Amino acid sequence: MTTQISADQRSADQRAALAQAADRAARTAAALERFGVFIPFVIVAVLGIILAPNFLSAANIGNVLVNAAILAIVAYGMTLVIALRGLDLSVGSIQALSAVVCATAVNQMGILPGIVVGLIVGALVGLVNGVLIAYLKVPAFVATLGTMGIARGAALVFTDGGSVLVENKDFGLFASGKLLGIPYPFLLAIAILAVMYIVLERTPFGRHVCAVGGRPDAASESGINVSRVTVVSFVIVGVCAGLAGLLLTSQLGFVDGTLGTGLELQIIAIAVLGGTSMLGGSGNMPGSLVAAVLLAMIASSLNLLNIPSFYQYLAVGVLLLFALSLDTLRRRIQRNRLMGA
Amino acid sequence: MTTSTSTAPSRGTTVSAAVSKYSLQLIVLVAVVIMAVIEPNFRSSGNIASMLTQASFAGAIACGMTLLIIAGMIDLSVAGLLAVCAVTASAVLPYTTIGGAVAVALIVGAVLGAINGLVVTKLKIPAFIATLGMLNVYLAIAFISTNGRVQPISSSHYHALGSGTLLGLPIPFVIFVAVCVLSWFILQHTPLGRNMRAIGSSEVASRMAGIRVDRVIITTFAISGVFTAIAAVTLSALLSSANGTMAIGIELSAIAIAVVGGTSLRGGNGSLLGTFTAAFLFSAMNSSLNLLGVPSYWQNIAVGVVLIAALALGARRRRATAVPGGAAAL
Amino acid sequence: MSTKPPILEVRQITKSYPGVTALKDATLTLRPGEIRALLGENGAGKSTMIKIIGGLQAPTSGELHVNGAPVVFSGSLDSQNAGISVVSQEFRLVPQMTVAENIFLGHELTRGGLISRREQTERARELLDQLGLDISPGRRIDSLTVADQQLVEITRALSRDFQVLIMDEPTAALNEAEVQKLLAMVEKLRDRGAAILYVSHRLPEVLRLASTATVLRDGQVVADISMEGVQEPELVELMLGKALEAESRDSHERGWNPDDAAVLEVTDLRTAGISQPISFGVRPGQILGVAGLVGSGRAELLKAIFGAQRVQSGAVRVGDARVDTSSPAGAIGSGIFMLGEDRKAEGILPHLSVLENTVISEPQRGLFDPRRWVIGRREERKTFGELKEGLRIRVDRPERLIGALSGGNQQKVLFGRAVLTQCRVLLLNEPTRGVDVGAKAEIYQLIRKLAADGVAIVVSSSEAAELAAVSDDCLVLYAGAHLDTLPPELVTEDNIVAASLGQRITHSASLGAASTSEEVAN
Repeated sequence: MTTQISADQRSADQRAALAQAADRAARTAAALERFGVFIPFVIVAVLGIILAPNFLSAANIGNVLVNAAILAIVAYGMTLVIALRGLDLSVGSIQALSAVVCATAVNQMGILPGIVVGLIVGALVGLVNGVLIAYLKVPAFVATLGTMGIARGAALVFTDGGSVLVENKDFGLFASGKLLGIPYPFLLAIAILAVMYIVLERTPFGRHVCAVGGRPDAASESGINVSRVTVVSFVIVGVCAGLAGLLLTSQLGFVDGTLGTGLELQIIAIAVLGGTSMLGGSGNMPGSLVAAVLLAMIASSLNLLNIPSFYQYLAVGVLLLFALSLDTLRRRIQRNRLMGA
Repeated sequence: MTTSTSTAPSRGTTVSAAVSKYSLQLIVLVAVVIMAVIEPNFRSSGNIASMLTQASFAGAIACGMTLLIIAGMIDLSVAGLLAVCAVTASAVLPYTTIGGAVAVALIVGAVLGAINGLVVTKLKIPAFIATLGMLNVYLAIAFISTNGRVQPISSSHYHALGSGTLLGLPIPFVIFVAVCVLSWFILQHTPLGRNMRAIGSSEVASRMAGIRVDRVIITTFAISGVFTAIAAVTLSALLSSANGTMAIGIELSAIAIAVVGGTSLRGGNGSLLGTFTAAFLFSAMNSSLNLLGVPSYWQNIAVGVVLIAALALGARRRRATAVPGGAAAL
Repeated sequence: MSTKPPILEVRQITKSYPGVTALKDATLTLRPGEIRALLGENGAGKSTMIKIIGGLQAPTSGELHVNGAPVVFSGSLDSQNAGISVVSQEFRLVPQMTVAENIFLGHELTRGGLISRREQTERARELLDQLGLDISPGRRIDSLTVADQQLVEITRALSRDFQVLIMDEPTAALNEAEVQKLLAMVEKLRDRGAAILYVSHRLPEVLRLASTATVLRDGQVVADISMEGVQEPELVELMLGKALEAESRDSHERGWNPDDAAVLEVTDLRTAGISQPISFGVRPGQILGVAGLVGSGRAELLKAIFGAQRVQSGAVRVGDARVDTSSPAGAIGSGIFMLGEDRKAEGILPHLSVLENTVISEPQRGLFDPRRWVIGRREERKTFGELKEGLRIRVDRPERLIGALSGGNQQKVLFGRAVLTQCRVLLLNEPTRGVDVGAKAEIYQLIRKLAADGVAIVVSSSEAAELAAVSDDCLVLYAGAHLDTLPPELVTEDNIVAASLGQRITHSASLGAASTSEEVAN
């Protein structure tokens, strides 16, 4: 005599409404993630054009693009490891170590060996980071904090606290040369963007990085070798930082062991501003390039306005906190819409 | 504190347990004895006083860091926070007494620490990245307020806070010991310290047990801020000056000290005796490197290597949770 | 109908844990084109069976054969490679990636080293279409509802090459229309020759799909039958081991006074997982059971009352005061305490000692009370000593880490925690999960003792026997709604099982009229 009730009492409309709300939330969140960086970008660009003299001069634009390219190349690597739910605090030190090693190698062996050696240095430090994190299970931020100290010390030891002058003037062409008015480094940054975008979005490796960052248990259950993905990612960010060190050497012509101090914060700020969530699972490579240009614009505006450089610290710190709050907000919108209705 | 056990284990196990429990202290002791034998300057009273003084700046910060790490947090902004406190103290000193200047510095430290805590808990940003952002903000404040210049401090009484002695010990060291004891007391003998350990052990379970998690975290950051301000006072007193770059990179030392001292980065567990010992270890290591004629740049490398070695060893052992007696020894 | 040789054979598998035998000599065969139901009450050994077939656990003894050859699985990958695909209850999807990417995670469709998005999208759409699902393959998982995520999880299992499909409660989060689509899909797979092991508590689904059934009871196979002509009551009888009738409880002495006002009052409460507003009340000394299947909203209801999950609408009152449901601390302040189902994650504080775990929730003291600032060790030890006797916590010294205790003793420590908060309402979710038999009885005694002291208690459990043993009345939830309230004389194991499966008990002929008046205050 028992009565069977219908398996579900929630009406179909209610469910459809919920699905719609979820969809809307997803779109709002995605828009924030994709285009949030353009809000500060436009503000800074407009302010720069209005306030800073010579902001639109060819020299300044060229300068901004070279600086942005150097930042962006490191930021691509950082975006990758953040998508993996990792972090690399050693990028500034890697940049310095690669720069001093490269400058010395250029002087002693020539340009090509210099470049190769500089990249190898970056890869090696990245490898150490990756092994510490993947196999010794050290949290990424402490492991890279440790290698940050080691690589910085190594750079200082290598130059004995002094600086290295690049004797071969041709080496400077990498940073100063232009094609159709666009500096080589920026073209390189765009080329690398294309490569990194494809790697992250279109290769199994890139998808595995996001899977490890999003749901490590799901990743390993799907047969992904989590340790290998982790090591390769940290080697890539190391190589990126090494490459940035080479470009910096080319741009400056002389380098020392203190280069790139505090770079890690700028780079993390760039990645997060660009729309990459610290929670991992996804990365926004084009956003990183835009955010890198944004930071370079801020630096040059402050410079043109003769504002002391330490205001840049403030700007970077505030921008980072702004971007992180945006990230929190984005998640909250999504969660509330999904849970509510 | 060590718990007096009711069961009486055999003497052999007691000794081996003590050795493994105090292994860090033994290593430091042996290393110091070796150095003292091979390098006479190492055991000169001047060098000893200098080592104790140098241990106390990063050491005091490491005490706060230990509490934070135990609660599952971290603070990467200490270098900026220290600079702001020191600059503030140097700025108000001409207008007030030394006690007044110190009080202002400590209050500033507490407030800035609490701000870190608010950013972490209310904006829900992970501590290591939020405090990295705050590092820049604080550094910028210190730079802007000094225009990037070194602020000299002329008061010789203030200088004595950093260079004087009390009972034959350098004052900064005496203060550092006091900070250690206070931290230990907070951790082991107050409900607050117990809540810190609970949160570091399991934040979800702590919430379910009714602990006001946000409040405890903000308080812990504030306490760490006060300890950092104490280091700011003693360091600026020793240097007789304050500026924005006076403590750049000190977060690495403080974290290394806490971790080498046996505080688990997973939270829940930590030892202030270990923090104290590790602070001295790093100071003695730097002093040895100096005396042996190793360039100072190697110190960076040494700190990083020791930190990573400690972490790698910890990964090998990973027996933190198996330590008997939740009220882990000092 | 299937006379083909079996694809999968489970031969006399035994799985024992320390103190418990989850499966004993269990045997099961699956042939191509067969849908076999795996039935049994909670704790009968179904999930252990699935874990062993899925490669997540190794059997203590016995063998698995695939296509006639013995196999040994050392992980889920081995099982997948042998052609077994498992749709598990909890899903393993990467929230930040799209539907198509999740479906092909780990076996991406590539062309020249690059993922062919078009191909993946097309294949994913095909798979989704087969299920009749209107989900775009390009949507991110975190933009989908839980039901849709469940469907994607199923689609993902279908994307792998498999001969054997294991489905563990695949419809728990679905509505009727979605269930129908899923069932049609399963039938199509069978017609294509797949062997399917279907685990569900929803008997109508089982009757429609399965041609054979294996019934487990207490870890043993009690029936291996053909489903031809089998009706629902027969299945229930097999699962319970006896016939179902709306039987009465012999005698139940309730400790509460019907004239008392309810101390806990829940009014029109709605929260994620509870779609129909729920109202009920509990009087001092009353033990209210809450029954329901996975996905019925049982756990969510308790969490919401305790402030551990967002309350969407409605109110909770203790006495006359409205409870602050924004956080557990607020609920504790109003006199509610809860012991959650996952003791490891939500209960114990592993780095703290037994003593500290007990006293951690003590109410904060006044500003001028020294014990607010400094821990009074001696007093705490005394308090603990008294509690230890009363609760029969077995520990040699209170400074031991909580992890050193057995599950039952840990649970008693958590009860002690509740006692020290002096709560008036105690919410228990799965109070004896992971607890051995002896400790179980002690915990039941403890619950009754607390009730006798005047605490209002709500016990939520997946074990019908447990609810029958301790509760006075029993609330039954089904798919996020309040289905029924069993009055004390109807709270029997069988009634609870039947009600959880969606059968209304109180309206059945013999007892219906009398029982409604007994319903607890709301």
